[in-house]
Amino acid sequence: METTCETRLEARKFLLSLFADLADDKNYEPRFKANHRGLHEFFWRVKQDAQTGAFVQDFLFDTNGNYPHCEQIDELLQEFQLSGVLSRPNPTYKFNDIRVKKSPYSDEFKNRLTPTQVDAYGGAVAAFKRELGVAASK
Amino acid sequence: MQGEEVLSEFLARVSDFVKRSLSDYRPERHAKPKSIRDAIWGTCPFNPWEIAILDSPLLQRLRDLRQTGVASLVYPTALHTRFDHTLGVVTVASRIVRSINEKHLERRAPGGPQDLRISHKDHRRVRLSALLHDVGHSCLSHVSETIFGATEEFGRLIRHINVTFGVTPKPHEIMSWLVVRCEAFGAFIDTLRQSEILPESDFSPGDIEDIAGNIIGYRKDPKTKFLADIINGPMDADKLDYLARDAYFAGPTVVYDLDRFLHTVDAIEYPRCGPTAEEPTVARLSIPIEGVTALEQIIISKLMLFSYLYHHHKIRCVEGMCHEALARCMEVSKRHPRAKTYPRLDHPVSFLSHSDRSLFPVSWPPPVMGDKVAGELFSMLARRELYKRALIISRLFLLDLDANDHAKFGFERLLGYGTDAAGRGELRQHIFEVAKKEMGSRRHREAAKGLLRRFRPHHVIVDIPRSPTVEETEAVMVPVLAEGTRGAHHANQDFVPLSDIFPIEKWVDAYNAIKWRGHVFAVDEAVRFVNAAARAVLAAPPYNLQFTYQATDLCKLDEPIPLPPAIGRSLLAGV
Repeated sequence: METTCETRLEARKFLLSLFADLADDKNYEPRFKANHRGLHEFFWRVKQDAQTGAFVQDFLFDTNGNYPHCEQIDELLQEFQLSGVLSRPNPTYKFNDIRVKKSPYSDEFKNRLTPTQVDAYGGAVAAFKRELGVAASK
Repeated sequence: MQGEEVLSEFLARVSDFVKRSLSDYRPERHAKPKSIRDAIWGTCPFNPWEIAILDSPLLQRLRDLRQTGVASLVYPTALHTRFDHTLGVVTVASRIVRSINEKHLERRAPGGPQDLRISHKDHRRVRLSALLHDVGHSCLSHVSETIFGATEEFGRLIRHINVTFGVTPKPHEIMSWLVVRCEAFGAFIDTLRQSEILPESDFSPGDIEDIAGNIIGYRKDPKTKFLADIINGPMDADKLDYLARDAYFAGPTVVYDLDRFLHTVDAIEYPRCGPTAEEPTVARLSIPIEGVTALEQIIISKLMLFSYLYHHHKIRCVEGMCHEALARCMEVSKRHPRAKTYPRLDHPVSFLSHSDRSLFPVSWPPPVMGDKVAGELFSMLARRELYKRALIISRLFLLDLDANDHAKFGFERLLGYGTDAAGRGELRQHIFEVAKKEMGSRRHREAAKGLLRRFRPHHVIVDIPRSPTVEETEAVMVPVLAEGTRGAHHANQDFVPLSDIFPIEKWVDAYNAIKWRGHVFAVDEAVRFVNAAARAVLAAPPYNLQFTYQATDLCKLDEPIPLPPAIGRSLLAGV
């Protein structure tokens, strides 16, 4: 689905910033689980939260099926694969490896947040790591 | 404007269009069903009331909308229409209904928990949904919907529908939904009932809501979701018909075992999961293990059709030119209500008043009509004078992408322009200005004098197609035996997503890496200048993309302009 330029870019930048922050955390592997349902439910909750909803305001979810599904998330993840930002390694394809060290969008995205949103963003990143991150082996 | 107000405004406009379309139509009462021969599905029977709707100007309009838009400029026999496709979808929908009923008759006790037999009445409603599913399509099919679907007013309507019904239909599906729900169409259905063309016993006024809901994939009761799935779902009748029809008429040999698929397709009820599950179970279309191979074949063939047809570079080029012309018409119509523009497109609903034929000049040689820019493009298309490839953007033709983070983010930014018309427009303007500067340089000034005078921004097109996504594998649940119960007297049933059996993402990743192509297109005479300009612009920040020689070589330019880094930098200076 075609969406408006600005909001779509914001969601894109939010996702890139989120992935970069995960890759930057030494306690986690630079990868997240390629769990379709888990990913869509995570971003659905981000959208429902009054504090974080604005990060993905233009994501439209189909809630009529098996679980909340947003076509834009699938498209974005596919584009990140194509650009080389993410990579699903052989042979299991069970993870998305984050293949960039630092997103140039991280600061750009965070600088636009209000102080309340900064806290909410931190909470979203923590939840993402907890639910879909892979703890680093000691 | 609030969501309800937006919806009312759209419904009023659509109703006005439907009223005008049907004003002179007097439906004929046929005594018995009629059969129509179809190249794909053979002899297809239609009920008398379906014939009455098919004969109406609302449906006859679809005869003038090509199913694959302007693909016939590349595949000359791809002349099939939305009307042919509509007949096919009704036939496939019926075959799915029959397949489900056969299984439920054989295996399940009537009225039992898994009895999902489709009643005679529901079967008729599904057929009517199929008959009307594309009635909201407009000129050049999907090309026009990317334009009116991206307008602000349509965006508000999409969001309202999403909030109200929890579905995410495509713009043309919403337009069809509006047609079916509008007052004038309701009046038409009443006329059919009163004149006993549509049997009153089988059809009540409230059924309109169900028919409209099926078109956008919505059912109030999740236990009947499979009925909407037949029309708008991960493996719906629409897809099954268009894949077979597009391949057949365009010409590429793509083989599907549709017979096997239609034999195995089923409806199953299973527990719902996730935070939005208010009802404990949902019933959806499904495929048993023995039908998975047929579905795999359909999905892979769909990817191949993207390569052969939907993403074919020449078709993308033609669609880009059409997109440019229609967007220009809409912009001029909105900005200058009295300006001479043809077609007049000042609101998303105004697209319904135009068909493919009404866009192009009919006299020969094709004159430039209406707005100068749009008129020039429509005239060029009528003569099949198409833009040429100036640069191919492919993962295969990018240097050092895996090792260079700047290039990855640059490529990622470029891919984002696929849905960001403003970003794409800025890039096009930049390439245009650099190309123009090169034409005016001392080296080329004399030879490019005439071209320099004629060259305009709309002579350059940046095309970034969306990667195909395959929704089937996550949305389709396959019944399997629960772990550890194989061989037991009462084996428990479990349900797993199709992706657990057939991980299609590997195929989609491979398709994107190997087959995905973006392009910069330009008018023939400017193509070498645009090639140099595009390479220079995309090599600089924020893109940082270096192309291999194939990105230019495969464009078959007569004489590419060499672009050592120093020339690239000097080209960009001052632009």
